[in-house]
This record gives sequence, structure tokens and C-alpha cells, in this order.
Amino acid sequence: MDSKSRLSKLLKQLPTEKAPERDLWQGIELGLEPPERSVSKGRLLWLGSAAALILSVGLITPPWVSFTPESAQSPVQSPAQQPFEPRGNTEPLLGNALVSSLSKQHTAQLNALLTTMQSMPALTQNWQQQLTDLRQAETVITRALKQDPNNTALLQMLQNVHQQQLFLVKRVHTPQWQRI
Amino acid sequence: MKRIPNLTKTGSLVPITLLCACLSLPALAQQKIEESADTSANPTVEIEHVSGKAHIKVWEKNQVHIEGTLGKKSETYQFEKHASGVRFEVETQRHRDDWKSGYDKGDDLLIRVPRGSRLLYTAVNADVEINDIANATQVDLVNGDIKVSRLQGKTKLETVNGDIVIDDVAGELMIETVNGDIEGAHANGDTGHFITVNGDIDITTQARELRMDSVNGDMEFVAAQINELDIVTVNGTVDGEINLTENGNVSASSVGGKITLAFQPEVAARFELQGHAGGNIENNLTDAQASKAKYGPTKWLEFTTGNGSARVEMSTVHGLLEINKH
Repeated sequence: MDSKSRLSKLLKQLPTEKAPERDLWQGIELGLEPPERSVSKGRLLWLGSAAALILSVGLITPPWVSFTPESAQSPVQSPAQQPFEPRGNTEPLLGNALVSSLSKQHTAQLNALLTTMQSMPALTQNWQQQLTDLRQAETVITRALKQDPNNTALLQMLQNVHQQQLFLVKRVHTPQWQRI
Repeated sequence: MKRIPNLTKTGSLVPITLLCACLSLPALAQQKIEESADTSANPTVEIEHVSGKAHIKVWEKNQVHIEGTLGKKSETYQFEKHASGVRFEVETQRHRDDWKSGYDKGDDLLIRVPRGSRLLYTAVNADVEINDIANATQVDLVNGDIKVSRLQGKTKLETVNGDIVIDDVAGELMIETVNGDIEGAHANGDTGHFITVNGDIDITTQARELRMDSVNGDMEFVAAQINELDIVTVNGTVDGEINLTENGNVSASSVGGKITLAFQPEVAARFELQGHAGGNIENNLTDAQASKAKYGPTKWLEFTTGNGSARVEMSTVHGLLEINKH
């Protein structure tokens, strides 16, 4: 069998369709659909805000910011603990870079908070299981974001579970109760 | 020892000379107390104790009146009138970890305050019932239930391990509990914010801006005219009925939980629903059906009803989104 025949035979063995390794249709769709379909104004605003937050949080976060559901802030975050260097970088983070930065920043915040709170007795017995539930939810969302890293709904969901984790830890270790 | 200015003595069992001279009063175990102080019509009333129960209600006098029995572990109490109101604090003997594990029967207090009071109540192991405050109410508990009715103004209720029941509460409302349920009726408020971790929420509300958060807790609610609705849950089941205003916004998300929202039949909104990684979508509002990505687990459903002036965005990772008419 000559090389041409071999190539022809091999070509016939190839599948007639080739599936992409990840879901590309959303990206194609977003490129074809009118603006209404792509991303709502509110979500664009949120995405921009999230990126801006990533860039600016290290500059504005005070040594201790009380966490409340209305203002989910970093409790303890020294410049040395920042997972990235925002100074001088004006490019907004998008996609996997944004997801990665959000996760790193949150991990630093959570660890700092847990370190701060570790000497305080917890007010509930099941908070660690609840935190585990939230960390698992975070993993599920992050996995979905790998398929669709710029999805604002998923990014917002990720932010929500980050805030819920910080809220939970702070709520069950509220320092105000130690003085009573 | 400090002075208690402008106290009105009303039959306390504590010696009158001691009462008049002291702010900090030694308390005998299970001692009966009775204190009162004249105030304005809108005083700030701060109540702080460790354990027991308290019932706080209003009366027509411009006076704060406290009576009841102190708990076995109560050592001293302070009753102080200051420029803006009254502060009552019970000091309890402390043993290591008492504050989080020991549930002493504690104090039994009946407190009467002016209707226009700004009430701040704090306790560790206590149940509290509050009625008819018309100015502002804030409650912070660790272990215990909160029951309130006919409150107006700004209300903030927090407990870690306990249930919160509201009845006919109007005004700005913020409720938080970690391991407890929230239920009741919220009337005539602009905003309502309900947060639980493991507890369930069962609320009827007329808030125009409503936010509900849970991790594993379920939510069931009926809302009136909604301008802004935010629902965040991880694994909880949500079942809500709303009337969306012309330019209203709804945002609801779950990781694994099921969210069911029922809208008024004539709702005019742009709907955008997404299921990201195995999430399902069920539309019983129109004939539109969800689309599925050819490759990958994503599903989405987008359609417009009426002039589409309002907006509804719902998303789940691997839960279920369902929209219905009511």
C-alpha cells in the first residue's frame, strides 16, 4: 500500500465530527447575539466592579474592617498578604485570571479571619460543617467557571459563597459576646 | 459606686439608701427587683443581661420600669438614667465557658418603656418578647428565641442559635440567625433582609426591596409589590410568590438548591435563566423552552413578556429553576 492509499485509509477512519474540549457555544453565541442577549448592563457593571475591586481592595482595605452582610470586607489584610500586586496594573482582570484572583484573595481573607478568631470559643457546634458545605459549594462553582470563566452569574455566585463563609466565621465568633 | 440620677423608686426590696446612692447594686440570688426612671417620650433604652427571659412592652407613661426576679448567678445590676435614656445591666458570676454552655433559668424580667423608645436588648442565653415599639428595636442574642409583634421603625434582630418570630412588623427589617428559623409577617416596610445559615425562612412581606440569604435553609415567602428581590442560597429550596413592579429587578441564585418563583400572570419582564453544570430549568409561565448547549452541561432560557420593562435573572449550578404563574 502506497503512502497515498494509507493516508486515504486513515482519513476514512477519522470521525466525521470533532467535539471541542470545552463548551464553546456560549462564546460563539455571545459573539452573534445582539447586546441584549450577551450580558445585561447590571451584570456588566457587576463584572467591572468585581475587577475594579480586585485592583483596589489592597489599597483601601484598613487593618480591620468589620464584616457585615451589607459590606463584606476583608477583616485582616496586610499588604504583604495580598495575593497579587495591584499597583501599576490598570488592566482589569477577566476570565480565569479574575476567578483565580478572587479565590486567592478570599482564601487569604478567610485564613486571616480564622487565625484571628481561633482563640475565641465558637458559639455553635456545627459551624465547621457549615463552612465545609460552603467550601464545597465554592468548589462546584469554580469548576463551573472553568467551563465558562466570564459568566457573571457564576462569578457573583462565587462572591456570594465567599461572603457567606466570612459572615459565618465572624458571626459565630463575634467578639462582642466575650465581654458579657 | 456611682449615683443613679432621677430614679423613681417604686417599692424595690433593695434598701432605699443603697438605691439612691449606687449605680451598681449587689443582687441576691433570685432577688426580686423593681426600678423605674422618668424619661422623654423617645428614650434610648439599653438592656443587657446574660440569661433568662424578658418581656418588653410599651405603656403610655414617659417612664422606664423594670421588675422581675434575677437569676441564681446574677451578682449585681446597674440601673442608670443618662441624658438620652436608661441603661439596665445585670452582671453575672462567670465560670469558664459558662456563657456558652450553661443554661441557667436566669433572670425573669418585665420591662415597660415608652412607645417611642429606641430599644437595644442584648443577652447570651435568653428568650425575649417585644411588643409595640414604634421607634427602633435592636436585639442581639447568642442562644435564645426572639418574638416580636407590632414593631415600627428600624428593626434588627439577631440570634445565633434560636428562632425568630415576627408578627405585624412594619418598617426597615433586618433579621439574622445561624441555626434557627425565621417566620412571620412583615408589613409596610421598604426593605426586608433575612439571613440564615441552616434555618428556614417562612415570611409574608410587603417590603419593596427584599433580600434573603441561606446556606442550607429553605425559604418560603409571599411578597407584595417587589422592586428589588435578591435571593442567594447554596443548597436550600426556595418557593416564592411575588408581584413584580414595572421596573422591578429579580436576582436569584442557588448552587444546588431548587428555586421556584411564581409571578403575576401579566408580568412584563425580560427573563434570563441559566443552569450551569447540570442545572435544570422549568418554565410554566410561557411556552418558551430552555435551550441546551450542544457540548457541555449548560442550559439557558430567555424570553420576554409584555414590554419587558422588568428584569428577572435566575441561575443555578446544578439545582433546578422553576417559574410559574400565581
